[in-house]
Amino acid sequence: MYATEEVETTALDSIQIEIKKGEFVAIMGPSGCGKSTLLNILGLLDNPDDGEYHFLDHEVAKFSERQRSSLRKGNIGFVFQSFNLIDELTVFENVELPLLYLKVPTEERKQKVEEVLTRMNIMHRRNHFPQQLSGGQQQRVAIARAIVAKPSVILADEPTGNLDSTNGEEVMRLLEELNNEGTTIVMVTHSPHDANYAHRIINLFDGKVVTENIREQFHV
Amino acid sequence: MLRHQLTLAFRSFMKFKKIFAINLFGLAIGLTTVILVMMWVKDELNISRNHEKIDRIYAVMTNHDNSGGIVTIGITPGEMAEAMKVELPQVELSAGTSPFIEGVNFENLDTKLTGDGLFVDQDYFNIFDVDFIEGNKAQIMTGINSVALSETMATKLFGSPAAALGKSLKWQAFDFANEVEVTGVYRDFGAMEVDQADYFLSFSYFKQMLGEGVHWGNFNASTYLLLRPETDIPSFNIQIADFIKNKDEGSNVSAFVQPFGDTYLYGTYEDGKVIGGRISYVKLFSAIAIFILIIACINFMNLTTARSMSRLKEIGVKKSMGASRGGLFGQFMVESLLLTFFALVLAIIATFILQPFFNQVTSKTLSMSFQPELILILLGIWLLTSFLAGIYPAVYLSKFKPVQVMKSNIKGSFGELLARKGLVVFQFAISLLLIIGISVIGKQMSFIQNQNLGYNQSQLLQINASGVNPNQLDSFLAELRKSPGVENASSLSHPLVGLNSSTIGLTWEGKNPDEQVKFENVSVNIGLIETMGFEVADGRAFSADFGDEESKIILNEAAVRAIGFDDPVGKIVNLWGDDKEVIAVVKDFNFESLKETVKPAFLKYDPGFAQKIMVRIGAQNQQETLASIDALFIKQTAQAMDYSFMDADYQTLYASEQRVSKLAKYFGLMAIFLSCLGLFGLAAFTAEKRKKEIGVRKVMGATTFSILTLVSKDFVQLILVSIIIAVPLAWYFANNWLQTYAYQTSLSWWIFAGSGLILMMIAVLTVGFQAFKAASDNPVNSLKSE
Repeated sequence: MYATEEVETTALDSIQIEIKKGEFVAIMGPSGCGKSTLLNILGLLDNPDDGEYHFLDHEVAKFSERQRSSLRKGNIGFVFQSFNLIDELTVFENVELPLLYLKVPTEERKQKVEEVLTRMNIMHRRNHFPQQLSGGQQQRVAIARAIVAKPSVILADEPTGNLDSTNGEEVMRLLEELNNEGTTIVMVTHSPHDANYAHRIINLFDGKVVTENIREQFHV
Repeated sequence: MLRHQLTLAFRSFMKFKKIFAINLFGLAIGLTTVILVMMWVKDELNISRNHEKIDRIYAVMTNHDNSGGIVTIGITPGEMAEAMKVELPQVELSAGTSPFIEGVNFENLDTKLTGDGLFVDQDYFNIFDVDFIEGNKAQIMTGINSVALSETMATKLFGSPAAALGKSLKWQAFDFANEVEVTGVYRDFGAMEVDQADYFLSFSYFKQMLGEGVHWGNFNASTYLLLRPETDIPSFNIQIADFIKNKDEGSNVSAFVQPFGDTYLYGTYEDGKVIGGRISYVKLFSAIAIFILIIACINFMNLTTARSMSRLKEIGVKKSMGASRGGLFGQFMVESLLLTFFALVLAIIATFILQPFFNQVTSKTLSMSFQPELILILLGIWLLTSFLAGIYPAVYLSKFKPVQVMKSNIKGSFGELLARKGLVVFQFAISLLLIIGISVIGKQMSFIQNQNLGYNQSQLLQINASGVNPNQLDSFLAELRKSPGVENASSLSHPLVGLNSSTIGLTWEGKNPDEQVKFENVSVNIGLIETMGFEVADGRAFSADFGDEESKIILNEAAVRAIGFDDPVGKIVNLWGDDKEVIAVVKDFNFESLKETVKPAFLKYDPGFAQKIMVRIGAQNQQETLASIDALFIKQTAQAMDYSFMDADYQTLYASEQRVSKLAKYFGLMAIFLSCLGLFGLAAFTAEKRKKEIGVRKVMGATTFSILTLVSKDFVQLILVSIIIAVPLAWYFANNWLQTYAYQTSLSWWIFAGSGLILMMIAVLTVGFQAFKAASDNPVNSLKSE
């Protein structure tokens, strides 16, 4: 149940899904169907009012904010539609942030950030601020930030929503590549084209799972 | 992590430059006030306390139970010190001293100087710390003809302290003169002593001067005690209460001791008990300084939380990446610490710049030196201020849930809005209290200055008569009267302002023998009443045309009321055993601060005891008149005249009120300025936030005026609430303060209305500026910005 100021609406209702390690899952559905709520619960940003959620052998549905926060660290990476880079921090500092919270030593931090920036082909922009970058570049930084701590899961909320098709294509290829390396990816999207990158597409409508199409068989 | 937080704080300051500047300067102003006031308070608290044995030094006070109530003074009989030492085992040492005597003439060959100081016992130097640089401290006052001089006096009279030692020196005061030997030279007293003595003469000699005046019914000396460490003060006070009554049957005076260190700050007594004194100013200014700092902190809180919307993304992202609430709390506290640190540095610089000015206003010689103690205090102020300013924003900002933040659907909750509004109301209520306070003090001061004092203060010169040979006084006065520009001249026994020479020795037929009535005793010369401009209600002034004026007396109206005479002129009263005929009644004249009602007083003819020469001069050519009087004076006494104007003298009675009123004015302005600064920031922020709404309204046809009203309305409501809260409080405080005056101005309604209106206008102008900017913007700009 999700409470806004005016009314209470049931955002998700009797959903039962299992996502395996290494899977690439796309969640689709019209606006207001509960996609984002689902993603927030999966990402440990929010608790469900009812039901169970097993994440990495933990039953986390009743976890406190503090417990969720510590489990989130290093295990989950987020990629947002609006990038959500911190304006006052440079590219390097933005990407460094998750490692700071994991208390990674300075030298190792530097090495890891540079590695991921190089991989994202954005190393030459390391000292720029987000506003100085194009949308595509900003999203590459956001992905770099999401993967720098090598999380087992990446949650992407319409990662191509603010990008043109060329840049969008590039982001999708990056996600596919990460998935091929073993990272579990859950992506909310409106775009059928993007959804085609996933192994499995879950369609939501009014907080319920209406269809699940398995595009290709996923093997652990 | 700390480096990351510092970087982020810096960049965030730079991004919101306006808000940063408001916070920085606001806090700097608040901190400057706190540092200045702290220095002043520290100084006040230490006055009279810089003596090694201060914890054991006590002043003997006496309660005089007169018909008009109990009067408490630090004056005792001359034999008190010696008797207490002999009779009371708790007294380790005791010292008798004369009152502080100003204008004693010293003469070494051709060098003449006047100095202020007192006559003391040898044990005075064993009780108080006097830093002797020449002479044997143990034997300074063992001889009756000894004098100790300050370093400055010794140097002026003899060339150097060393040269002064053992030399002989003449002094003269009133009718007394003596030749003494310099037995010691001490370092000048710093500003930390109330009375800074230029000389010490022998108390034994002082008692000789008093002659028959030394007995247990006469109060003309001060007594200081060094009590043994284990002395229980309350029981000691019970023990000494009747000390004087036991010596002098029928006395109405009881004694008690007050810690010497407290005499400066706690010098106001009521019913024989200490009820306060300057300590109330110490408390008042401490409170004002803290309020000003709080106002600055409130600005910080309000602007930081209001700005939080623009930081929600940062908070959300960090939380989603695993930042804990504690971590974010720490980050915002670091920001507050950093900002306050900058503000503190600015404040320290400002303090250095403002110091001379502040010293001038407070009549102090404060200076800031970076001793460990001060650094520790500054460190404390830094941490406390950072905490005060930063805690609410840090708690507020770190509590957001990442989901809410990312959806950025946070609307100001009711509670948070209430908190912010409450803080604004608090700020303005304090400001209004200060505005009203300043107005009431100002009105009372001008009321006092325009009050008819019973005599004409202007162009009235008061000259120190010491040096004028008493035998030549009348001829000298005659010469003065002939001098160009001089309208009249006469002499009297005591300076009129703050007159303090009272007696209970006046009796009359039908007086209740159990009742003691205290009269002020003014010894005057022929022509004094005319020179002063006292109004004679009935009868005639002293005059040379009649013989035997010594047997006559003049009463003031208060004295007539106290005695109960219906038709006083021609009646006989008895003064110290001699019958005197009442020849006139003068209208009441104020010789004290208007905090006091006019007390009974009498004027008797006694030109021999002249301390002051009064000269009334014309309004024209004052400089020439003064120069010719000075020339006459030099001819008569071989030294320049020591003079003052009566109106200026009278002002010194209100020196502390005037200082308070001046300081309060600066502090009040500061509080208002800071409050408006905060309001300015808040209004700017509100206008910014409502930019789109304002744009839409304008597109729909709203006028600039309606937009102005829209933006200002909320703030005006807040100010109204402040006014409702502050006015009754201000009335209560102002009324209490006025009660300390016997003559009070009225608390007119327009003070409150006017102050409220001024505050409202300042606030509306502040908000209006922002509102107007928003209202006059082209709506296209604001609508595009989405």
